[in-house]
Amino acid sequence: MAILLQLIASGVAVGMIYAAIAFGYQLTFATSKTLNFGQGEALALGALFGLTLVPFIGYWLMIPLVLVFGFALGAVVERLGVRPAVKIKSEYGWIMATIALGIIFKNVAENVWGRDDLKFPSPLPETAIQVAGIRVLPMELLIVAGALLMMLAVEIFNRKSIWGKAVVATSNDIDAAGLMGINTQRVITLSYSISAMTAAFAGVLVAPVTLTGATMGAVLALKAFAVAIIGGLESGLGVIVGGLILGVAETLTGFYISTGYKDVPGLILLLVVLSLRPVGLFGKAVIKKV
Amino acid sequence: MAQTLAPADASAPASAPSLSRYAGLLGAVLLVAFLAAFPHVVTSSYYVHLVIVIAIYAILILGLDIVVGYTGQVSLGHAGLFGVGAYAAAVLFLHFKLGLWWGILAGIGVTSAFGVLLAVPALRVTGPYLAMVTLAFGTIIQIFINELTPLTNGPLGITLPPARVLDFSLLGMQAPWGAAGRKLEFYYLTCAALLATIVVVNRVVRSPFGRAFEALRDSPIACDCMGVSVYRYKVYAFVISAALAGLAGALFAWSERYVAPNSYGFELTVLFLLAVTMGGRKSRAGPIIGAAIIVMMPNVLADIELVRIMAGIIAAAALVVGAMAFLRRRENRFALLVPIGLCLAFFPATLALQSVTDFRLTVFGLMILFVVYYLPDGIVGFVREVIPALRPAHTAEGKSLHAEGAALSAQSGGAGADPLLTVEQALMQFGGLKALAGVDLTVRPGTIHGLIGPNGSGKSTMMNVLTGIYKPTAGSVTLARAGGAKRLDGRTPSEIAASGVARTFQNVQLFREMTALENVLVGLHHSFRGNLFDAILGTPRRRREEREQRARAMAILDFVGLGPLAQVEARNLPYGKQRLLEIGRALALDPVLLLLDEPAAGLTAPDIAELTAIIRKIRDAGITVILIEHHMDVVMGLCDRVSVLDFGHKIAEGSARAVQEDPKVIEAYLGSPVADEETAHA
Amino acid sequence: MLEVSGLSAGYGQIEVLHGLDFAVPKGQVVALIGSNGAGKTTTMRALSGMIRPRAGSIRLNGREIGGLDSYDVARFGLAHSPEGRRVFPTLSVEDNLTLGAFPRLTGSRPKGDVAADRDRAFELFPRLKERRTQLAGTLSGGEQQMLAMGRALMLRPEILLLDEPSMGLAPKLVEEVFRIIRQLKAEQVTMLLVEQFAMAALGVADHAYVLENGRIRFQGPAQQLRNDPAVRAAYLGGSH
Repeated sequence: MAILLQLIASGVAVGMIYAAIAFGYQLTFATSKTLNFGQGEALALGALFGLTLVPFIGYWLMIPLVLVFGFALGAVVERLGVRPAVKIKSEYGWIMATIALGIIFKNVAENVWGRDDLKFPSPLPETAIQVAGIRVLPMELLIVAGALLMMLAVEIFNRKSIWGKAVVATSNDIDAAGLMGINTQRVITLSYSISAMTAAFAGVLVAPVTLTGATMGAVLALKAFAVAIIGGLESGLGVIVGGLILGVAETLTGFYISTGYKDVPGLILLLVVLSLRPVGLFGKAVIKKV
Repeated sequence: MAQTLAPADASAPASAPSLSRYAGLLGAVLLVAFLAAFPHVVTSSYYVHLVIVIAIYAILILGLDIVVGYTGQVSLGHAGLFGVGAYAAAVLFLHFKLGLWWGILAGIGVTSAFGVLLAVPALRVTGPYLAMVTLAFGTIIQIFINELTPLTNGPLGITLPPARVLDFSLLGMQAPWGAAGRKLEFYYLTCAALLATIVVVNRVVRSPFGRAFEALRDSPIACDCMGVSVYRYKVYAFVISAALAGLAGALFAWSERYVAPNSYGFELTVLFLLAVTMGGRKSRAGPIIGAAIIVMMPNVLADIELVRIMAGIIAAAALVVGAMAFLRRRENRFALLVPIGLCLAFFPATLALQSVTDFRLTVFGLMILFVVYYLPDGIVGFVREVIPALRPAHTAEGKSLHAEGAALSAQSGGAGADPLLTVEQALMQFGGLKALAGVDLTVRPGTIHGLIGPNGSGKSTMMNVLTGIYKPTAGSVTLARAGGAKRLDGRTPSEIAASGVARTFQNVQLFREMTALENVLVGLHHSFRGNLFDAILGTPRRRREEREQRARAMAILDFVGLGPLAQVEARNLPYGKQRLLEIGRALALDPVLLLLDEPAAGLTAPDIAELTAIIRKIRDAGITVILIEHHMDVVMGLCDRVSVLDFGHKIAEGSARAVQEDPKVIEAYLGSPVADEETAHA
Repeated sequence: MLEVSGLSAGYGQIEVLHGLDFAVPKGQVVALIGSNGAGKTTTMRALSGMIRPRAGSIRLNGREIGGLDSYDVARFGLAHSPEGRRVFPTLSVEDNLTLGAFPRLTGSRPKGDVAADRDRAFELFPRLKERRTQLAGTLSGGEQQMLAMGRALMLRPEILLLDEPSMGLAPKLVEEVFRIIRQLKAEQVTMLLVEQFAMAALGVADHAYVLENGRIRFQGPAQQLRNDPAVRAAYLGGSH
């Protein structure tokens, strides 16, 4: 029983990482109907960049710099990968372009930081502690807290600041937002920046409990997409639920079946959900207009 | 009734179709000659092996082209299918000691089954969702291959002995071509497989299947309404593509003689996509060119001197293209500055680096970006742009286009007493909104029935209910047929189309990248009796059917006045002609009832006159027409009877003239003067 | 205030407007009427930058705005309450109104007192005040129409474009909407009104243009046109 609870606790932490990445997908998809197929590489670059900074300024001071880095990275992806494709209305275009940028980033990362996985120094003690009778790693608590805090921060931004409301308006109705005097192109760039920023932040959150390297983001991003689908690409809260379901399913599979199969439940869940309900569990069905 | 074809497009001279066809034949002959002679000219086994790998990749990419080029979807799972094929062959050997031929059979069979499996979640999704589905699929395959060690030997992989292609000892004789020849047996087998693949893919894309694939890319809604089931043909596309990937995989396993799980991952799948895009979609030469590029590129990149030479050539070419663009003052010359600048910068970069191998993937990534933005039709597409004579005349290549037979099958009907279509208390509710609030409609056969009303009155909703796009919340829709009355509500658009109800759309939903003739041929899909094997084998039955249906399609095009434009792509037709083409395509369904949704929208006066004449001809042939229109003159001039909707209710019905004078109708359109009086005094 | 000459526009291959000439003098209400498909909404979209004109000029207070993006057009003081309302469904009524003043809050237009203007909007539309924290997507059609109008007014525009305000509304609500339009007229708000329902529009406008097949068929003082049978013919066919 204690093991089960421990697994669930770990699953919750992993799930929050997925939710944080999925949150980024939602943001860009809501405003521009596109998303970054290289989101995993944004996460990896965030982690690696953070790793480089930590020996100089420590974990906590490194975080704001990584956020800025992610923000800039998102703008680059949008400018190079998404905007030209959207202008020529090519779906194939932005899918392939963001994939290509992801490949380039990964390759550059491999050359700068090497192909081996690195150890990320943990800011918190690495021995498990007891919380409400369950053994958890302090880092796992930080992951949950950090992810929630970040999503909360973005939500507050969306609700309170005028630019945040502009982002929501653009997601609701891009034409009407333009009529309000909102520069919707800038909003889209902003949403990509925030999206990559959350991925980079997720990277430095998850790095201490896993291996850090150029390839760390790929499968994470794919599973986060599963979470985004389950949560519905337009809804906010659904990703947290989806992330928790997936995270816990994974840790349980990893323990009771085999670590090799750990990644499978998420992927199968993605296939099943899309077979049955293409708009995701929380998505709104679209009424066809012909 | 033979007709000579007058070329509609001045830039494509009358000889163009035959030149393209001969170019294709010439290319095929050259390819065969090259493949046959190559190992005797270049005897190094390293290069022979390289050509084998190129051929194997080309087989897969030709199959990938069906999904990416024809159905227009991004598949990120083809490396996984490749792996399934390879492992099917390898596992058969590992556990049952079965050789090459069994491996090929298993590769095709097992991978086809996986193709069906992949198609299931892919059916209802499209775009990025579909890409993710295929990516998940590919990843799952990799994981299972890695984990199912008892079956697949896990991460260690499986080693295979040299392939035994032809076993002459079974016949008690020696190989007629000696020991040296024996070594080339696998090479020639692969070449034969490639040539067979080219023929098969060619036949499939020129058959109704190929047309259905393109149709479902261009307009899935129109597909369903023409009776071409989107789901079914998506499955076909995935399965054919998977079969070819399986063939390629099995050959690859026996070629490399080693399979391991991590060779069939994301990187390979992206390379395949790069190949099909860079080579050129919807072509046979494109995948072969693309395969050659991705196989040779790592070898080229390993040799830094070669890279520098190539970078120099690219920089020089870019300078030439840029100079020509500026000298000729071409429109987009400033937009070209960016790619030209990049090409120029590439050269000094290669001088600075000692080795590019580590940046191999970056180079591939940059190539993808370059192709996506500046070469979206690939090398083959670029060449076709530059040499107009090489543009294909699509599937109607150069064959004589003559019309035969009646365009429309005569409908029994005439102005009979019994109604053809009966709608009873149709209710369509979206959440709290009642788009149709209980509407009755009776349409008599052989008449033109108008459906009018102000914006938001429910006309289009009624149209969508009648054609199965919406299932009515309540009420019934009944169609009178020879065998008895048939309920239409609740049926799929495909079924309703098959029952004899055809439609056009408010926003034109043509299959844009296909010619006018092909668009009509898709409408004729219901009359094709052959199956996939007929198409692949090119049986006499298939060829006869194709001839007959083309003739019929031409007759229909003549009927709507588009005969001379048969070879023009739908997207290049003038707007008025597009509307007429949509009607022609709908007529190909042999409908008893034709629903026209604002056919006159956006038309000029002469176009409207042409349209009205054609609608009359349709009615005279016995087909009943329901017409939604805003152009009152059109409605008044054509309709025998008019029903008026407002806020989801029917507020008037009768002859056109009666409705025009009806005060309720006037008020519905112009608003109420009475209320206005009151507000004036408020 | 607004001068349009030779305006041609369309979608893709289709040309909908064929050289329109009309003007909206300051402080007046001008109506653009015509049957569905005549090009009324296309005209509005060309004016507010949602689509690009193919030819012709659009001048707002002497400044050429044809071809600008819609967010630039809004900056210069043209507010468009679009066809179908198009309020932001997941934002509250209050936020919707605030967004109407976006250029003022981000420095593209003189700021003024946004909070006071919001209160003013609630005075004008008391029903919105009751629902100020409600999500706009849950409002009824009539309430959404008022919100769209209030939102457009938050720009403190030079000119207000009202696109089919009566669409989909029950007759009682249409009356209420036009009562508000009358009130705005009394406050000297310059308006261009596009309406399918000619009678209501002619009841409130100073001047009207009748659009048919993308061309202005005729025009005149609204009072005069109310009883002109040519107007009815423009909608329902028949002799012109």
